[in-house]
Amino acid sequence: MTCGRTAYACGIVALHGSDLSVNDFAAAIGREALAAEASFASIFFSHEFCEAPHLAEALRRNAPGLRYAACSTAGEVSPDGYAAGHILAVLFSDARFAVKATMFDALGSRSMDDMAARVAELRREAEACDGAGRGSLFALLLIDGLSRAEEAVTSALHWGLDDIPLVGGSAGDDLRFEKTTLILDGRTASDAAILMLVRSQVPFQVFKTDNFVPTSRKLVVTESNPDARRVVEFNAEPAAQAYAEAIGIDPQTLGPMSFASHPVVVRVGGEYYCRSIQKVHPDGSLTFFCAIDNGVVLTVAQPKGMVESTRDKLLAIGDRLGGIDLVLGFDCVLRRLDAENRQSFRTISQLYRDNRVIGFGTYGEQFRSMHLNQTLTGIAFGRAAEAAE
Amino acid sequence: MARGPLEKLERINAALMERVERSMDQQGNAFSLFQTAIGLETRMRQRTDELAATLRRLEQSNRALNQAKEAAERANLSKTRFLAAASHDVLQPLNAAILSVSALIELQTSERGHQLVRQVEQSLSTMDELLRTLIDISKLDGGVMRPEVAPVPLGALLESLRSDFAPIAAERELALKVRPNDHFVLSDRTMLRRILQNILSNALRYTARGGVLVGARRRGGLLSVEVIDTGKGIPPDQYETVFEEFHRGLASPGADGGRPAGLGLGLAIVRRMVQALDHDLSFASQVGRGTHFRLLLPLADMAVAVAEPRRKPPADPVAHHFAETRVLVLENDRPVMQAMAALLEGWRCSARLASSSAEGFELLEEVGWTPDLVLADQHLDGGDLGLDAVELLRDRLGWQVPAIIITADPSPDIVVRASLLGAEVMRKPLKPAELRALMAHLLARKKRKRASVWHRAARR
Repeated sequence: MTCGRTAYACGIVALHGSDLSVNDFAAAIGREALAAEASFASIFFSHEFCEAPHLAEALRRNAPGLRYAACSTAGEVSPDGYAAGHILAVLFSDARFAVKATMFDALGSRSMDDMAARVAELRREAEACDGAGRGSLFALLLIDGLSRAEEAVTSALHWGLDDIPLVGGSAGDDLRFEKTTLILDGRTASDAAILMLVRSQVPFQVFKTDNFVPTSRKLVVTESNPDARRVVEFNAEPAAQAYAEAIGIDPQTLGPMSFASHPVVVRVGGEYYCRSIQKVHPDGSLTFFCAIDNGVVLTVAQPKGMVESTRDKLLAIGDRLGGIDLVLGFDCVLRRLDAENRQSFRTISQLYRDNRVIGFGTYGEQFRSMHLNQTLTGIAFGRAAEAAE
Repeated sequence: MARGPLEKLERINAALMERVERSMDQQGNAFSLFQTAIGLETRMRQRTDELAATLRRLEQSNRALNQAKEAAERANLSKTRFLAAASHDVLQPLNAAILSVSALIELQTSERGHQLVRQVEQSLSTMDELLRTLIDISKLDGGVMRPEVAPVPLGALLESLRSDFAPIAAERELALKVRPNDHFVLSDRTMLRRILQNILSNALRYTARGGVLVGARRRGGLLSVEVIDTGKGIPPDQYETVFEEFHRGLASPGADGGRPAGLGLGLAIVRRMVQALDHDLSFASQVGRGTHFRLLLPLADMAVAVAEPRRKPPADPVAHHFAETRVLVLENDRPVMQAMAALLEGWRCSARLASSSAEGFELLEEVGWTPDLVLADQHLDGGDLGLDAVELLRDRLGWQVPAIIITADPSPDIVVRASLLGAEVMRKPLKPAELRALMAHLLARKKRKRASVWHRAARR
C-alpha cells in the first residue's frame, strides 16, 4: 500500500516498495516523473514482486512518456537498506542528467565488433545531446547474470567507451538461477544487456570495493567446460569434493552460503579477484558466475572485514567528492549472504542507509572493463550540485 | 574412479601446462578476456599516471611558453622601437641629403650640372619613397601601426589631396576634379589620407588623356568615396595581383617626365591599411576605358564629430615635443617640399604645403587650420619671396606666427629684414637636427606668449 519516496539533492528521486500492486507503483513512477521532470528511470525489481511483462505493461499505461531500463534482481538495496522482494525506481531529472540507452540482445551470438560500433554511435549521441549541458559522461550496464557473456560484453563496451567510466551489475533472479529479465522502454529480453550513457552535471566517482584474505590452499582447474563456466575437476578430483575438502566442510552441505563465506580467488597482475561459485551440480561439478578455464589456479580465500573495507571505501569516496549525496550500487548477492552468515547484515544495511547507497543484489559486478564477483561496484554522486543552487 | 597421488599430480601438471600454453595464444576465450580486462585496468592506471606526468610536463612547458611569450613580447616591443628608430634614423639622413641636393642645385651654373643634380635628387626621393613604404608595410604587418579611428572631415582631406596633386595633374595636362562634400567619416586620418593618396597617385600615373574625378556619395549608413579615371584600365588577369607587392602596370607613355612607373607598393599598402581599418575597397575596370575605385567608409555622426575631441597619438619618444604642431611649409621645389613634409611628419607635426604665398593663403581658408609655425623658402613660385609671404600671412592671421626663412644665400639684406620681422634665418643645406632645435625654441617661446595672443584675438 505504501510507496517510499526519497529525493536527493543531485536531482535523482528514488521510489521503492513491496506491498503495493505493480500498477500502483507504475502510477507512482508516472506521477513522480512528471513532478521531477525526469524522462529516464532505472528500475530494479524482484521477480517476487512482479514479472517483467506486467511491469512493462503497467509502465506503458501509467508512465507513457518515460524511457526506462529495468532488470530483475537478487535482492534490492533501498533507501532503507537491504531489502528483498521489492521494486526500486531511480529517476534521473532532466535538469542534471541526460541519458541515452541501448539494448544488446542475443548476447550468445553477437559479434563484439557490432557492439563496439553501436557503443561508439551511442557515445556520439550522448556527447551531442544538450539536455544536461556540458556535464561529464559515465556508463551504466545492466546485463543478464545467466548469460555467461559478461567478459565479452565488458571488453566490447570498453572498445567503444574507452575512457568513459563504466559500472554495472548482472541481473539476478533471487538465487533461482532460472531466468533473469531486462526491459528497455517496454521491450523485455533475456540473454541481453542494456547500456546507459549518462551525461551528468553532478560530480561523480565510480568505485569498487572487495575484501579477501587468501589462504595457502590452491585449487587448479584440471577439467572444465569454459563455455558453460563449469568446473568438473579441481586438482584432478571432482570439483565439489575438492572444494569442500579445501574449505573443510561436508560436500553435501555445499550451497550459496558456503560459496559466499569461502570464495575462491585468482591472482592476476599482483591482485586477487574473486571467481564466485554459482551452484553445485549433482555430478559434483561447479558452475561459476564468471569465466574459468583449464589450468587456472584458484586460491581459497576468506572474506574478512567487509564492514570495515566498505566503510573505508565510502569514506574515501566521500572525501574526494566533498560528501556523498547518493550512491548507485551493484552489490553482489554473495556479500549479502556472507553478511548474514557473519551477523553483520544489519551493520552493512545500516552502512548503506547512512551512505545513501541504493541499488540491487547482483550476480556479478562490472567495473570499467572488468567483470567481477563478490564486490560492491557503484557510482557516487557528490553534493556539489546542492551548494550550486 | 579413485586416482593415485602421482596420477593426480600428472593431471594437475598437464592442466597447468595447457593453461600456460593457451595464455600464449592470441585467440582468447572468456577467461583470457577477464585477464585482458585486468591488464587493461593496470594499463589504465599507468595511463592515469602518465597523464598526470604529461600534465605536469605541460604545466612546465606552459610556464616555459609564457616566458618565451614574454620574451617575444619584449622582442616585439624592441622591434617596435627599432622600426620607430629606423624610420627616423634611416629617413632623416636621406631627407638631409635631399635638402642638401636642393641647395646644390642653386649652386650649379651649367645646364649639365643642373641636370645631374636633378637626377640625383630624383633617385634620392625614389629611395625615400621606397624606404618609407617598406617601413610602413612592416609596421602594418607587425601590428605596430594601429589605426586611431575618429571622425575625419572628408571634404577637407580630399581638398588637401587635390591641392597636392593639382600640380602633377596640370603638368600632365590631366583634369583633376574633386567634388566638394561635408561628410565626416570614421577612419584614421593619416591612414585614410594615405589610402586615397595612393589610389589617386595611381590613377594619375596610369592615365594619359582625360583625367581623374574624386567624389563621395551616401550608401545607407556608409559613405562611398569614388576615384574614377579615364586611364588604361586593369586587365582582368591582373585583378588578383594589383594589390600585391611590387606589382606594376605599364605607366602611360610620357608620364611624369621620365619618372619611373612607381614602386608597385602603393596598392599593397592600401590593401593593408584598408584591412587594418576594416574598410571595404573594390574596383571595376575596363581596359582602355578606365578604372573606378570605390572605398566604403562608415559615416560619423556630426554631433559626435564635434563633441569628441581628437585623441592624441601615443607619445613618441623621438618627437613628442612637436605632436600636433601645425606647420605651414612654403617651398617651390617639389622634392624638397616632400622631403620637408616627410621630416615634419616624422616629428609628428601636421604639415601643409604650398608653393606660393597665394596657395598658402588658400590653405588658411580651410576650416580650423592655422599654423603654429611657418617654414618658408626665400625663393618661391611666381617670384614670391619667403619674407614677403611671412609678412602677408602674419597680417592675415593677426598675430606674429613664428617663422623660419630658408635660403641658400643669406645676403645682409635678407638677414636685416628677417630680424626686423622677428623671423629666423636658416642656411641651406638644412641640417634636420638644427631645424628641430630652432623649431622647439620658437614653439616654446610662442607657448609663453600664447595668453597675450588670445587676448588680442578676443579684442578683434
